[in-house]
Amino acid sequence: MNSSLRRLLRDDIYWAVEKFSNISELRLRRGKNIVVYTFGARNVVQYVCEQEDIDYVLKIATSRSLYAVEESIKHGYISCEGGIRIGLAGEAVLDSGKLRSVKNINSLVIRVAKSIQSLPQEVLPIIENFDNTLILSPPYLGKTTMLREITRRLSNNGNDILVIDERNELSATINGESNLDMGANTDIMVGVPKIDCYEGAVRTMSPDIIVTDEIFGEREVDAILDTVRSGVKVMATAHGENIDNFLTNKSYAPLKNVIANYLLLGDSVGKVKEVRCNCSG
Amino acid sequence: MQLFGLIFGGIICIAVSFVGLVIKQKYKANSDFMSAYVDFIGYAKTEISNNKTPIFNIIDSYISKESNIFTKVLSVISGNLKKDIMDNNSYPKECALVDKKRIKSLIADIESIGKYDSVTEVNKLKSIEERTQKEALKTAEKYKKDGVMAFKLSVLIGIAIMIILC
Repeated sequence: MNSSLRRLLRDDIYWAVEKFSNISELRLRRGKNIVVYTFGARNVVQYVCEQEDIDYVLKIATSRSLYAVEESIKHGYISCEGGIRIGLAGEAVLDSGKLRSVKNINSLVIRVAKSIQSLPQEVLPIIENFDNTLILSPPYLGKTTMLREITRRLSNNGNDILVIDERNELSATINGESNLDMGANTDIMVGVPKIDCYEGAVRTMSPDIIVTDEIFGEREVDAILDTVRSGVKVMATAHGENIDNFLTNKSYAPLKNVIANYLLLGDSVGKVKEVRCNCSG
Repeated sequence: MQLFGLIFGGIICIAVSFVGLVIKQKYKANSDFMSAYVDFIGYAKTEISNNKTPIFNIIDSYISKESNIFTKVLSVISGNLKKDIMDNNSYPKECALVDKKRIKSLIADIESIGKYDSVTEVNKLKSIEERTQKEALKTAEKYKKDGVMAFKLSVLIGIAIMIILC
């Protein structure tokens, strides 16, 4: 088991889940059985999670300092060392109608970041002659991992890359340092709302490529179009099971005009189902 | 015989005075401990309020600024909590002068930090600060009154014993 994940778990939980290798996700819900995902396979463990188990994870994940990560808690997650991200649910604490914090946290989704060192052959032309690229995949099939690895390679090839990592899922940055290898020429903006970041990033950081995970909605598509118009290339991911269906969606249809390469993952984790590559640029 | 009485009385006098000195030191150690306790809570409150600094970083930076009985105790508590141990009583020798209940209170206070958002934490630290300030005033008064008096009294008793033995 990943040592960072081991640190987060009380011994009782560890003993209950240690038989699973390659854990990609652990779901802890108070009073319910623990669920373990191993590369897409769902396993229900005969261990009923208690509040103490959840509190323990939070205590270790935050180094006994929940307040220090309250901003990310407001967005529903905590990042911790080793590239682990913990999604959480509980009761909202409101202050004059604004979300101040989340209390009585009773559900956790612990996701373990994966890194891959080899890419499928059909992806390599995209890296060799990079142009705007969109990675599509249903959930849990490794689009973030794929995005990270392509980013690392592009960066090591000498491209200046800016990663806009709103939810700290790509870089797993803690105290200003990425816990995952993002490449030699990568700058990372963590925790900033993506929409607010595109324009400023183009102006101030002058990247060759902007990388972002899980684009969502018309506003972000507009921001991407503006970015591309200014001469910066973009690589992004989105949820989708079919390239054509995705592009018929009204919100995402404008991307057709700027995206040169599409990568669709499917069938199993990290497996490339379809590549549409306009690799001549 | 008179010389023997003088020497014996002198030794008794020194011994009794030493006991008085230890009592005074105990009062002083508790007073200093409480004063540092208040200072630390104030520091933690400011750090959490302004920078949301994690508790172990607050402790580390406080320890690096000061070196006294309080920081030695704090260092042991921090080390224990990092290993998820509440208390293993492994304090340096000089910490023996500090009342156990004060160390327990410090452990409980530090253990209670970090479970809520910063606004709640700062409010909680304010009430801890008020409580410890009152306690610090009490221990400072006790040191000035009882500690100093115990020392003076023990010296007087020692001298009296020496005179009687002579």
